[in-house]
Amino acid sequence: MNPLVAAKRALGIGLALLSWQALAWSRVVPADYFPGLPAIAAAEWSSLRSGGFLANFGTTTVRAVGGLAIAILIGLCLAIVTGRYRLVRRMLGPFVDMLRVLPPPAIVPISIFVLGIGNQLFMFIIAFASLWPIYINAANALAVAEPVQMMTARCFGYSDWEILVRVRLPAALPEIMTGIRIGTGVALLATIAAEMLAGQSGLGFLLYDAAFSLRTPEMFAIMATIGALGLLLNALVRQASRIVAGWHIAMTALASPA
Amino acid sequence: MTRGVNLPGTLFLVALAGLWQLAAFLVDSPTFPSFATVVGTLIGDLGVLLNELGHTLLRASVGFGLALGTMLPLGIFLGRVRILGDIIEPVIELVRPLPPIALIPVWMIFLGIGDAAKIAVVAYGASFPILINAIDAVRSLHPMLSHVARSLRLTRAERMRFVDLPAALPRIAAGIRLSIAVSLLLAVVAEMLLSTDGLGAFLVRSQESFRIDDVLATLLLIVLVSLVANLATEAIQRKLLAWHHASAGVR
Amino acid sequence: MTQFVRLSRFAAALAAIIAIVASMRLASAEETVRVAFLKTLGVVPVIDAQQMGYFSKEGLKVDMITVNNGPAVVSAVVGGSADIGFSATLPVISAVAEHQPIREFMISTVEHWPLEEGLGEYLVASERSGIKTLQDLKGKTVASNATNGGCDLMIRDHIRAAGMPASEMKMVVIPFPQMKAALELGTIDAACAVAPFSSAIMASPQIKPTVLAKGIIADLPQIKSFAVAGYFARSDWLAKNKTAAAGFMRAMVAADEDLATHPDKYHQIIVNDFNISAELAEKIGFAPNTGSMVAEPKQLETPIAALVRSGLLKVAIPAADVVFTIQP
Repeated sequence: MNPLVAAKRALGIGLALLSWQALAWSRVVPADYFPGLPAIAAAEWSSLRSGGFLANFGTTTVRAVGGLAIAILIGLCLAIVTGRYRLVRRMLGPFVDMLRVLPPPAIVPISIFVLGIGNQLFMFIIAFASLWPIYINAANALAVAEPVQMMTARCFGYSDWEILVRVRLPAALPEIMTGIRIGTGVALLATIAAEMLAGQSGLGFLLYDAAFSLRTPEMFAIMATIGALGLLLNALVRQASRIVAGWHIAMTALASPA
Repeated sequence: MTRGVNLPGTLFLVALAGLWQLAAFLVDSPTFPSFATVVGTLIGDLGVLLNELGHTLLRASVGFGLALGTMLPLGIFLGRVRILGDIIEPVIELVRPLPPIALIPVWMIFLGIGDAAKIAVVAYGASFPILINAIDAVRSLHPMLSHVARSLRLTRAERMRFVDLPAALPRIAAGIRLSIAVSLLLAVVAEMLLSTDGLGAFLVRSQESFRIDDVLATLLLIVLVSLVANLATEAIQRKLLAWHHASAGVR
Repeated sequence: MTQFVRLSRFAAALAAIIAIVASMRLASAEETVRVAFLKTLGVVPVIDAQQMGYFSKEGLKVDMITVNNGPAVVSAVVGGSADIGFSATLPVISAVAEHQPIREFMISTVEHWPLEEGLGEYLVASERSGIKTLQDLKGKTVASNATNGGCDLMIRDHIRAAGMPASEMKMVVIPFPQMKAALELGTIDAACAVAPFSSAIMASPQIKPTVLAKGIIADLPQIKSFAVAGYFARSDWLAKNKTAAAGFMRAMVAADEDLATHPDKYHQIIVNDFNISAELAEKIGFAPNTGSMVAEPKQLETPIAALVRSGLLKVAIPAADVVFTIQP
């Protein structure tokens, strides 16, 4: 990495940490509720050493990834079908628009009734929430049919399905991966939300518990952990994007959307 | 998605409603209210629901307004002054993956459980799309624009207002639309956890009183309001940005 | 390109397998009895029964699931995540009134007057709120732990008896563990809590609380007893598992007897499982359940009437509808 970029990054983060500590020292807010960095670090350290914390970290990660996997599977299959049959896409349009505005936390109460509070609940909520960005991006990408590519494919005698899978699907990859990246963020959000509202395990539950029992250093430590998990998942997906769609981006020299 | 009436889509929705009605009739369980029951509850409770909606919309709007008012100038500024943007952006990227819902306990500690805390939740979550899009939009402005500004001898503030802002509008508009959707969503979520009043609190209370039809009616209302908000912002965007050269392909 | 197609199909299959395996491993598939709780003192006998092996003696393995509040316990049982639930009788009554298929089969806690030390519902106000009587609650913020729970009823009934309409106060919902913090920070002016949370609140020097009211309903001194909490299950589960339910009841009776003869164990469990200091735990009284825990319809008549009176229940339902009688 360019040393100048690294320096700027370090400077930014350093300044942020310093301001936090300064705020903590100034006691503008009671120390009980705004712990300094050492207290938070200590809380994080003792949490990490307790086996329970790592288990909860694992639970949250497994749930998020599991739900995301289901969402990717369903979302891509659905998008492929819609890519092939334009009528299906028009048909599903308003329905998808309605379902995707539902805030994941809002469907937790009703889902508890139908699914109880076991792992089915989490899988459903996480998959439901992350499905939409994935499906919408994939469907949008597959709706485009680049004329030159289409004509070339027809010259080769490809059937409609073959065109879809061999030509349009690869062309849609960058946008699909963007959708998956957004979906990953949503999956983590939905996992934490569900754990806060209905969980007895996982980072969301730990956060809720620490917050409402006013164990603030622990609370901030857990928040930092959740943020770190988000960063990690994001980085993983970005890497996967590069592997799966890197050739495409390089060839078309498109800046990938943020 | 607003090019004329979408006949297959509408028919599909009607068919789904019919299926729901049929399924509820067959299952015949109190945990499964029929479509008609839910719509009836929605209409019957309309007074109460609109009152709660008022609270929710108030918090969403104030939070959104705060985010817009602070993050838009900040984003344009950070996009322009490259050095600052490069320093501060890693911090933003670090904080972004943390879901706003995880911060609700923090706001609760500092601001209690009233309106202030909920507005803070909304403002926090709504800030990111605006800030990030503003920075990106200004960064990718055509370099010729800054030359034009310089030859016109505009001050920094004038340039930001008369050149950067209008040029960056489509990208910023996308961020604003996302921000509006997030504001509504976070207002409901904040009300669910800091349960005083509003649609989110009503949702949780109905759940706790086992009034499933109320729960579904509230969800239906949330969907309807979000759809209306989406359509409205899309229409406004099209109107206001029709003159912009980049609007040619805007959805 | 075919290479890519093959790769993508493989990836899809892999993802599917991962998802299926993950959900299979995570799906609960045990044959034991899962009991969902609201974490208050009612769980102490269960912990004791667990430790003393009373459950295994009845051929049962009990899985304890902790939930955030009474209505959530009901949801867990209705949704199938738990077989038996422990909560206040009130959410159960409300659920049955909304045609949910659950039935109360054990009454484990009866509130008597006079209240044992530290036990029962306490409505307290912080010193900084300036509230000294129930009438002072006008325009103030009062917290209960859940709608339709014991505390919700308690607040509403006491202010009704004091002649104040509920609309004059701001009622909010905060989980029990958070109430002490909220009172200290001034987020709320008053709260209703039960032991051990009420004990922690009463002992807090920052709150310096005034007790505004005690006991689940205002006329508890006249009525003398109120069936406050118990165990319930889905009616179809009860019909099929009468022996398990009866065994559970017997184990709980044994645990209550055990705790009655060894009160130090009671405090020990409180200290261990609730994160309460030993001195605070000593202040919490113990009212062991005497007599049978079999749920009888007439025990629920007072709770139903109280719910209707406070407006939490629109129409009274027959007490027999709420109860499923199991003989141990």
